Amino acid sequence: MSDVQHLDDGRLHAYLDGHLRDGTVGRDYVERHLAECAACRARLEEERRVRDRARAILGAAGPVKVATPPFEAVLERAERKRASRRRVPPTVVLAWAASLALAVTVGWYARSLVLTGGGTGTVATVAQDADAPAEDVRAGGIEAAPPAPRQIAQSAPARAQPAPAPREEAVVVAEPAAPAVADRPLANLAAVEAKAAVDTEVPPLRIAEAPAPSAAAAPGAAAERVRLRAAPPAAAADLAEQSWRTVTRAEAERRLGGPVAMIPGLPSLGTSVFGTGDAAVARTLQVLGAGLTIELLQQRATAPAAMPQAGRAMGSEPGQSLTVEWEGFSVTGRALVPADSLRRLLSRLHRP
Amino acid sequence: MRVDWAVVYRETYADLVRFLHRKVWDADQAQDLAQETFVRALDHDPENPRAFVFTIAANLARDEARAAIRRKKHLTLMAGGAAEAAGAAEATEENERADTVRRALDELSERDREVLLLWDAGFDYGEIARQTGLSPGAIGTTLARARRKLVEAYQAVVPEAEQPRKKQV
Repeated sequence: MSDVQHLDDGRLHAYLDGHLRDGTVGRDYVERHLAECAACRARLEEERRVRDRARAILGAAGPVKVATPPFEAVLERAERKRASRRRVPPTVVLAWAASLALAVTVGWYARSLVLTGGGTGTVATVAQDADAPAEDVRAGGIEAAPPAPRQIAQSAPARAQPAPAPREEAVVVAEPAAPAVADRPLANLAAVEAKAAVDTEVPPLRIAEAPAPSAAAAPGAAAERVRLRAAPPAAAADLAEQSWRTVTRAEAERRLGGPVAMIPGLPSLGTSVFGTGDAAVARTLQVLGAGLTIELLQQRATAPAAMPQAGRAMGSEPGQSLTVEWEGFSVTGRALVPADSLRRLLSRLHRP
Repeated sequence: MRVDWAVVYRETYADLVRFLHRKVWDADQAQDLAQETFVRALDHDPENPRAFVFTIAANLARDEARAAIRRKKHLTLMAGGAAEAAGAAEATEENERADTVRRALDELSERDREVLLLWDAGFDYGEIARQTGLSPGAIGTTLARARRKLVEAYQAVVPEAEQPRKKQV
């Protein structure tokens, strides 16, 4: 028997692994050769030891025993994934909101250029129209004041308030007809006006130009206006919710109407909330390491328009940001870590 | 013919976790990836479901390994990070043994390692050949080389790992 005919390692291992089946040419050939060749028999035993040793080594690497979770777990996970895929990606929504905000801002500035001359004239006319009883004057006065609210209402979308509501407000204000004002709860106007006092510096100037001769004859009306502006009692609670406030977790959950997104195991620096209900945005800071935090911005996935509010708050924070769907919320994480680390962190959001 | 994924899942899950564990070296993550593998497989109707599942798993594990390398770089930057500390505390004897096997496996070429792990997960030669694109006749040779290399590499690594423990005793 010449050397060329000896069995190679590959054939021996295939034989050991039972890959050369009974009756096949390969197996017969190997067995015939082994019967005749002591050298190959010795090598076969050597290779068997190698094979068994390799099996033992790999077996030592664990996991020892793996319980198979029910198949339903896979189905549920697939369903969750499908549900989140059906939604419009939050980035698209944000891009939309940003475009809209930009368009409205540009539009507003263009409009204010055109109206610089005529705007106050309209107000004066409105006030003069209200030339009868004191109540009417008062109604007129309150109505006349709102060039400021109108301005706010127009510029509000630029700050990404939900767009439709302010627009409606603007229509009502622009109409001189008193009934429309009567329909409207005064607190609404007051809230917008007071919000103006808080949020912008423009309104007082415009309001000062409003009083017409007849309005001046009713100092009570003026006083009422001032009072409403200074301390709108009905709107106080609303206003408190229209700014960033650090709140307890329980309060944050009440305002959000759901769980607060947090990454388990990381110390929390607290949660602040803006707005309430569907439009609420929560911002939670957690510590990743020395001098390194992750910011979690959370809002209802169904109310993407409010996100730029939050965007303003986080504008100065450096780092990557990534948005995920979580428990019906969209949660944007931002941290100074690589994108895949961020993705992994966000995948660890606790499941309540 | 529709694949009954529930059956494939029951029959394959343990092997799949074992396969994934030898790639990502984290029991929880191996299970997580195994579940994710089936989530991705559900919508498909492959001829050979078992091979299909292992292909997905191998891809997921590769992506995860790449991500892990980047993460490691990052963690090195954040010296003394919490994750590092937690890892040290968990270094049980079992983990040490797994780590030794891991280092031994790292000595193998990627192709040899893949063939060895598929064999370890219960694949036969034909399946391994289809999975790796090697010719069926080459599987025996590849396995012979991979096994020998693993045994040698393990012997070379073990003394390092065992010696400190023996000194302590």
